[in-house]
Amino acid sequence: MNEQVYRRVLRRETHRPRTVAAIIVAVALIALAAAGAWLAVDRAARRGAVAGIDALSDPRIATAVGIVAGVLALVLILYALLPGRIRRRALSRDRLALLIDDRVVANGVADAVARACDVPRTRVSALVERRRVTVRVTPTSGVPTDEAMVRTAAEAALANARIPLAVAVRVNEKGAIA
Amino acid sequence: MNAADPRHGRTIVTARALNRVALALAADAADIEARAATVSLADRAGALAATLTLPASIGRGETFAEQGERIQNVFIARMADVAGRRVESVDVRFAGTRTEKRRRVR
Repeated sequence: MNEQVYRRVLRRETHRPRTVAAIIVAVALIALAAAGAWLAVDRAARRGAVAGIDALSDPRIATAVGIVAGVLALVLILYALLPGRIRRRALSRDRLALLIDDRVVANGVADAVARACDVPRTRVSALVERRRVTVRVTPTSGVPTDEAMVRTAAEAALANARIPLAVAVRVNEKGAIA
Repeated sequence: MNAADPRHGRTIVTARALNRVALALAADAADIEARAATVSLADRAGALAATLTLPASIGRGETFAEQGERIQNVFIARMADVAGRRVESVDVRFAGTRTEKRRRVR
């Protein structure tokens, strides 16, 4: 049972909620249904509605309303289809569900690389994407930085934390004098 | 994410310190006082490029070219030994001269 709870909670914490959009759509649908029911019952209201629709025949108003409706529709479609991931990753261990911000992972990897390659921490940066971490190192002038060593250190840090990410290494052409 | 690391702490060399070290080594290589020399360091595709400006020594029986080459070689070797930096190019610029006087050993 825990397994399922963890999965749900982790999903909730790693994806953006669509509550607001869902509430707006629900309210709009209820309002439309109410208006429809009212028009079906009340004859005077029906005449008023027809006059309102006549006003829409002005092309400028019709265009404006169309554009607004189109944009709204596009936003809602994107909300529905895009994964809406938060830059955070979920790990679960036997008794724990863990959430780690991608920035934390990036810092950890950069720390490990700086330590292993003896480069000041300020000259190592890491960018964590969904499936890949890119480590960028500015070497010290006159001290060649071993790309394989950077990769090994980054991979070891990730393996240690059991975070499956591919490692890409970029060593800057230009070093820093120190 | 801290893997057990047998090394504790790290050694950081500032650019200013490296420059002072280079100055001392250049002066040593040319056998002059440090204040007579200036050194500028630059990065060239990840390696160090140094420009040494110092007085040429006269009275050693060396041509300027020989003297420059000797200073280059000594400077490169000592920078590798002392600072652990690979110096790829050394430009030696002689500005002024300095006459070598034989001094009696006391």
